[in-house]
Amino acid sequence: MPEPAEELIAEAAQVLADCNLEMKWFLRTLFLSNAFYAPQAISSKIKSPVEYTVGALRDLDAVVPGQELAELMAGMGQELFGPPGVKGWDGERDWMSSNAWLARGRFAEILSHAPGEESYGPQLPLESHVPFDQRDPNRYVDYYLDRLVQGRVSNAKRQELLQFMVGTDDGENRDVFEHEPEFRMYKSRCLIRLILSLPEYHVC
Amino acid sequence: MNLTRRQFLARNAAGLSLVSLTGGAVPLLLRRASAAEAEHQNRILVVIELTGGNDGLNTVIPYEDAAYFNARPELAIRDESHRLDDRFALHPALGQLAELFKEGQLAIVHGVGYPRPNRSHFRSLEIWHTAQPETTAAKHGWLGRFLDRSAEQDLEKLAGIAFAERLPQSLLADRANIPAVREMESYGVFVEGEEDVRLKRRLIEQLAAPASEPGAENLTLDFLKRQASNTYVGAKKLREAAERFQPKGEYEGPLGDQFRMATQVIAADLGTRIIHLALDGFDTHANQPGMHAELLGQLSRGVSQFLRDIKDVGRSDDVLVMTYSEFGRRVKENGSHGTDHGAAAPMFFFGEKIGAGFHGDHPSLTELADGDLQFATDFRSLYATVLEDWFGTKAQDVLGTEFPKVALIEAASGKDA
Repeated sequence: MPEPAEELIAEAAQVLADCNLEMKWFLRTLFLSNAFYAPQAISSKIKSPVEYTVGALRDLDAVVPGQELAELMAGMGQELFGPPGVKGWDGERDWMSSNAWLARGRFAEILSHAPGEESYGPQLPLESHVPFDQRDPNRYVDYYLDRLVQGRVSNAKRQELLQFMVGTDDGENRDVFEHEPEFRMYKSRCLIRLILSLPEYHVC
Repeated sequence: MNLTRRQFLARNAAGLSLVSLTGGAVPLLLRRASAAEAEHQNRILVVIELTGGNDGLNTVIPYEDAAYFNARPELAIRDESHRLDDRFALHPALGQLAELFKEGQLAIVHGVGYPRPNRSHFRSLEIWHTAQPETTAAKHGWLGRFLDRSAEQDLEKLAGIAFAERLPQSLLADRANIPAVREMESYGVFVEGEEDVRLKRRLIEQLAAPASEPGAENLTLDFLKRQASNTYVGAKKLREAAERFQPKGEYEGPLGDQFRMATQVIAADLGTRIIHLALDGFDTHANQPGMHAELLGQLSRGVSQFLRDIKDVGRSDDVLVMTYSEFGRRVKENGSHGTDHGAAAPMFFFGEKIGAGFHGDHPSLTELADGDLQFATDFRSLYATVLEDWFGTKAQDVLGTEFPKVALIEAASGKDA
C-alpha cells in the first residue's frame, strides 16, 4: 500500500527482527496478516502503461504488434527504455494526466476492435472467450468482469453493463441478443472496451 | 463564472474531496489567494514558443550597425520598410507586428538569455521550461508550478492548455488539470466506427464516476475516478467551446489553427489561464531566408488576427501574449546560407496593458561571448515580471529565487501581494 502508517512499519520491522531476518517467515507473516488484505492495501497501486496494456493482452489472449504497442504506451507516458531520468518513472499518480488517461482509452478501443486473426496487426480471439452459441447476456458480463476485474465492480455497474448488452436502438430487447450471434459479438467487443475503461481495471 | 473563494471553501467544507485528491490522509491546506491574485483571476497568458532557435538578429534588425552587415554579407536584411525607430527594423514578413508596435501594443525586450548558455535544443528548452538552469533533475515546469499554486483548486477546470501532441514541460504540473490537445472538436474519449458513439461515450464516462458515498472505496481508486471524471468534464467543455465559438478571423497553417483554438477557449470563458502555442522550424542552419520569412509571416498574421478576435469578444484587457525561443543564433552566417545555434535573443510581448516599445539593452555585435551575443536580461526576470505584475503572485515562490523585474506591465495592484 502507498504510504503505510508508521506503526505498521514499526510492527513489521519487529516481526522481521524476531524472525532473525529470515525472509521466509517474515513474508509468511505478512501474507497472512490482516494488513495485507485490508481495503487500503488491495488494489491500491495504479498500473503502469506496461502493466495495463500487457496485462490486458494476457487477460484476453490478445496480441498487439510490438511497435504499435510501444507507441500506444508512449502516449500513456511510458516510452519503453526511455525513462525521464536515471530514477526511472515516478509512476503511480503521475500516470494519470488527462492525455495519458485518454490514451489508455484509445488502446482499449483499438484492442476491442481487433479482428480474430490476421497476418499482422492487433488480434483479439473473441471466440475463445465466451462461445457464441451462449445466449444469456449474464454469462458474458460475468465472464469478462471475472476475467478482467475479478468481479470487483458494484452491482449497479454490473446492471448497467448488462442493460447495455441487450440494448438496441429501440430499447432493451433480449430477443435480438438471443437470436443474433453477430449482435452478441459486437456487444462483446463493446463490453471489453467498457470494462477496460473502468478505473477498477487500472489498479492492482 | 469564477468561484469566489468563499463559494469554493463552502463547497469543500467536508474536506473529503481534498483528502481523496492527495491520496493521503492529511488534507491539502488550501492556500489563500492574495488580494492581488484574486483581482487578476481573469487574466490569461498566451505563450508562443518559436521552436528551433529563432534568429533574433534578422527578426529585430539593427540596421544602423555596420557589424551586422559585416558578419552577414549574404543573410543581412537590407529592407528597412518596417523601421521601428532610428536603430531597429522588423523583418519584412512582420508587417502586422510593426503596426502593433506603432499602435503601442508590442513590447520588445532585447538580449534575453541566461548565464552559461546551452546550445542544445533539448537542454535549452528544458531550461526555459523549468526556469532551473542549475539542475537537470527539475521535473515540473514554471507554468505548471504557478498553476499548482493558484488558489483555484477546482480540478474540473482546465487551468492551462497546450495545443500540441505532447504537453511541453513548462506546463507539467503536479496537480493542475492541463491537457495537450491537437484538435479541440474531437478531443475526448476515442470511439471508432459510427455505431453507438454517443452511448458508448456516455457509458464510459458514467462508469468512471466517483462513488457517491465518500470513503466507500480505497483512496487510489477514488483518485483515479476523480481524475478520469475531470478529464471527461474538461474534454466536454473543450468540445463545446469548439462548437459554440467560431472566430470571425481567417486562420491558416498549424500556428493559425492553434490561434483559432486559443480564441475559442478564451471566448468560452473556461477559466483557463495559460495557453501554450508552438511553431517549429526555426532551426535554420541552411537556406534561412525562405524558411524564416515563411515562419515569421505565420507569426505576424496569426498574432494580429488573434488580437483582433480577442478584442471582439471583449477580452483584450485580460490577455498577454509572450513569444520566446530556446536560443538565438550566431552573429556570423555559416557557409550554407544559414546560421547556427546562438544564445541571447529578443522576446515579444503583446497586449493592451504593456509598456510598448523597446526594453533592455541590445547586445553588442562586436563584444561577443564565443561568437554569440551576450544576454542583457535573464529570461527569469521576464517570468518574474509576468508572475508578479500580470498575475499578482509572488514570483519567488514559483522561481525559487528573486529576479529583478522589467517595467513591462502596469503593476498589479494589491495591498498584500
